[in-house]
Amino acid sequence: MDRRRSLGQLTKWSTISLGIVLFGFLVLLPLTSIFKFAFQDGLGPFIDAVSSKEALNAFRNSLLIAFVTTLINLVVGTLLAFVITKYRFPGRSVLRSLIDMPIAIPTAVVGLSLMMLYGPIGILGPLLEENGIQVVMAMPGVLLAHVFVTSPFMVRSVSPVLEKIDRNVEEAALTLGASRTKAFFYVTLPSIRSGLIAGSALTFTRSLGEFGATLFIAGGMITTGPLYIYYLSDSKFDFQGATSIAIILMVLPFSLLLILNAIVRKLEV
Amino acid sequence: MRGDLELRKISMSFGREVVLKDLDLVVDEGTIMAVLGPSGCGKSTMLRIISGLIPQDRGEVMLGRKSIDHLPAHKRRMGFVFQNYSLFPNLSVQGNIGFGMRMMKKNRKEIRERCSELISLVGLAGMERKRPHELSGGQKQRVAIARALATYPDVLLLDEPFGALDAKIRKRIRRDLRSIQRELGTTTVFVTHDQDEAFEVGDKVAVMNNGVIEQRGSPMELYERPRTDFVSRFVGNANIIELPGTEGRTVMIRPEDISLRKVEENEGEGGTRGRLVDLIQLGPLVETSVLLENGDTLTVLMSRSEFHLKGLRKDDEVKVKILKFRSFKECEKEVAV
Repeated sequence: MDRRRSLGQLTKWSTISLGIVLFGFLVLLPLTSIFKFAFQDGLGPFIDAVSSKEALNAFRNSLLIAFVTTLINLVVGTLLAFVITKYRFPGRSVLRSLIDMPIAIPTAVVGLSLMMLYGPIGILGPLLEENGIQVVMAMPGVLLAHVFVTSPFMVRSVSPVLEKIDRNVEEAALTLGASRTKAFFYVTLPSIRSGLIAGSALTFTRSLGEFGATLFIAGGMITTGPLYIYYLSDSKFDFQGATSIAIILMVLPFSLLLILNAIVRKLEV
Repeated sequence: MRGDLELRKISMSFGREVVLKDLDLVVDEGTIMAVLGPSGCGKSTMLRIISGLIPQDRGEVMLGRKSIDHLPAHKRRMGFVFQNYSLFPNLSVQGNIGFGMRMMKKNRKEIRERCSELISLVGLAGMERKRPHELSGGQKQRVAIARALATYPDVLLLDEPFGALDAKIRKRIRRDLRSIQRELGTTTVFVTHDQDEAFEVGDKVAVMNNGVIEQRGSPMELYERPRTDFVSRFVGNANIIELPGTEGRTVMIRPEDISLRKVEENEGEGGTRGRLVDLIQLGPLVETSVLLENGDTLTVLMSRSEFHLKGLRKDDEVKVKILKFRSFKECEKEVAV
């Protein structure tokens, strides 16, 4: 009996150790290595690297793009979540699976397809250019790419919360004198706020990290954080600078995600 | 705007399924109408139509002799209490009760005063700041009732409001609802599938089946003078059999309207005879089953003392005397099917 128990304990602890070691090797070790290069000459060069004009510009662009992307998906994603949870219509299940598609599509494909649509030789590109509308190699193109890549997150976070809502709660608001619009803002929206925050957290962090599609569509005209890292290491071989930027791009989204998840957990109680 | 609530020839179908068929109902101002019917008879649909949550296919909803069909739900001034409470999860008890007044843009002071008035009326003093998930089922339903009454609605609608509560709490909250309604005099429609509940709460009871009101009346009227087979069965127990000694005349006999006695030795033929095949002790009452010679089975209810006085036992041969019966046309139709 005792021996069996200690054998069980042994199995338990060796499995746990194996898991931790593997995770450490595959995930934590690569991340810690950037600290060595970022701080190889002390704190000063790190601060210089992350506060240079180019770096600040890249951060500002990244934050702005992530913010606008999140706002767009708050509206579009919530609308789509309503469409697939509230209504029954032919093609609903097809739409449901299509909504997840961007998760499975390589970002290079996203960038390429936007180029083929809005680019100089694309289907709509020349027409737009004639009318003075610049999409690729400009903010609109980058935003389209980011909204595309992040679009499933909001829908996926809001739909399960929406499904759990008691339909009678909205009806109760109506019988108490609230118009449909008021019922939506006073009752429905507050009930799905945990989903909205969770979806925003995922969208925002995913957008901050977006690289592949942005590389295609920005064409060197707009620099985001990840593009700046790529530029520093690939063109300038400035690895101290690249790793310093990398630390900011790693710590900032991760802490944001932790904070927002904590808020969501509190709201769900 | 107050007055009697009146439904005129309301019809409603969902797809091919006909839910309400030319339904007529009048609820007198200031009274409680209990609508009693089995699940799926269309009673919830009827409430939703009255409240304006769904539009009817045909017919009119009138209040005080005026049609209110053009008014959307949020302008009808009708309080609605749902079976599953449906409180606003993000708001406190006070926030829930005050919601309707907030929509009417009442000032804060007025809202607070009315809230505390209602909170004590429904017996929830001290719970103002609690959230719905911190309340028991009975407390939630009290909040829902207070919330529906807060804006002085013209009509209060309750859809199986106590179905999810356990028996003891249900009885208490039922009485409380009755006294609150008496105090406020709000015209009320109360929907239930429970006969005891309908009889206890309703000033009048309407029995509903298959999308129509089969009969409307006081609880006593419905019990003593049911007009259809369905009403007689749904309201209390009923024997529906061919009246002994007649050719195919089907009647309804209440179990307490039959008297039994033992067949005496050397008693001649004649009268209706049967055998006491089963008996169930129901506290003060005894329910017996009597198998008649023609094969029908009668349920007979008598007091315990009467049962003992007559010295009845299982498997006795008994003589059956019918004290009171009732016949109705619908009944024959149903039996013939």
